[in-house]
Amino acid sequence: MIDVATRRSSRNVFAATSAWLDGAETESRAAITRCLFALLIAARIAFTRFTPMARIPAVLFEPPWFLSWLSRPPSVAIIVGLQVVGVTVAILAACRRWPRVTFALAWLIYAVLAGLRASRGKIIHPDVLPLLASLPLCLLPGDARRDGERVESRFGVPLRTSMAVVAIAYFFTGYQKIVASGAGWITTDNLRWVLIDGIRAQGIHARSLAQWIIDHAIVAKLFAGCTLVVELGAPLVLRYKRLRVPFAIGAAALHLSIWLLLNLDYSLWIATVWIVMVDWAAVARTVGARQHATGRTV
Amino acid sequence: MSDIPPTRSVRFVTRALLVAMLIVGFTSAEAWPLTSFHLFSHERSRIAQQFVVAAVDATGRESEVRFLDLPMEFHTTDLQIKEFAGWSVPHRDGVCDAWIAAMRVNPSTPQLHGVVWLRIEQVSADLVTGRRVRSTVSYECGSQRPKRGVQARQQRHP
Repeated sequence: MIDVATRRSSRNVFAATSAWLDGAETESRAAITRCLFALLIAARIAFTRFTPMARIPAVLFEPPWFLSWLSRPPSVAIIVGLQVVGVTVAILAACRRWPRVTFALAWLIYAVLAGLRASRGKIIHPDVLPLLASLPLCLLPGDARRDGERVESRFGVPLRTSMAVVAIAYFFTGYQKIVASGAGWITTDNLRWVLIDGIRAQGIHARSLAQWIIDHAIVAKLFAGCTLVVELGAPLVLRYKRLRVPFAIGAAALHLSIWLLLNLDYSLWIATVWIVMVDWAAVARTVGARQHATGRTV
Repeated sequence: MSDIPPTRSVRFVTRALLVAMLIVGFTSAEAWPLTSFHLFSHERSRIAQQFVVAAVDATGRESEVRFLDLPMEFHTTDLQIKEFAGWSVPHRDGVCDAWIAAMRVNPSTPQLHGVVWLRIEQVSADLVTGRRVRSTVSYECGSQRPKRGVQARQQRHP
């Protein structure tokens, strides 16, 4: 009996999720999201040092699966060439010039360059979220216009998949903490030891703040609890629109505090969450309407 | 206005991406950029396990190596030490020789310029006192390391 009920409820969840993913969105929102991702990719490719990766000795070169055909990293000339082409096509995508082709090419070049940084033996997480969340936007129809008003599911599916990617990513960061450490991740001195180890291992931006948290165990536990609430609560933003901006604020606060206290830069995650979760088309409409109203009053 | 649905291939690819993320997440697999998102997931305690790499010069003098002081292309490569147990001795020597070559010419680590070989030890470090207790695993590597019969070994320290 329970089995039947469980099966039925999981079927309902699956059907509801599938229906939500197939929902319609405005073309302006989808197009603006793709434009913002294109600008983010252009900035990442332009301002990140990728050329040192050309000097990774072959014996230390451990590329991800999609670059495993390389026995050694590409030369500096090839990397610089990829950066030039990558920035160019990303800007073209942002300007809606052959957007499907140029955005997909920009994404591909970004994946290769970020993959080179991830070829040194460590799983590099900062590029993972923008890469995965922007991938569905490669499938957005080329005729989506930033000032368009069509509301169709062909615009909705890529955008909503992108939101689901962000929600799943955050959920798993929390889920793995629970699986690996249980409630002890919050209730023990776990976070204090993370901070103590961070102070010892590397220079941090807010040493006195870190020391204050270390000295106040309850603050460290509260901080750990808030972290898990943001991460495990991420899937709720798919169901409840009103939670999206608070979630984006919470994620930004989380990553800023990690940058201050552990010197780990997750600004790409902040940018990705804000690009995906905020309806920038609606923001632009509201701002435009207010300016119009103010202009008429004056 | 009638809704225009996405093509079948768009639906398939987007669903496949989400399913792949779920599979990788629940199985803790890693296929970058698909990852299981293990970010600070393991509970920390006062004792931290870590590998300590010492550069040994011709006189036997040892200097601890900080990989963040090496050029950027070597940052985080020390995490490959975790894979040493499954590697052959020549492969370990090759990896250590690559590090040694970088240490010898790195301008910001003059104390490492005379390095001949590397001693790598897994230690349990007390985060409060800084005291280190050697663990069971240690390696000596680099093609110019002293030959002692057992070239890369696992020792048990009391």
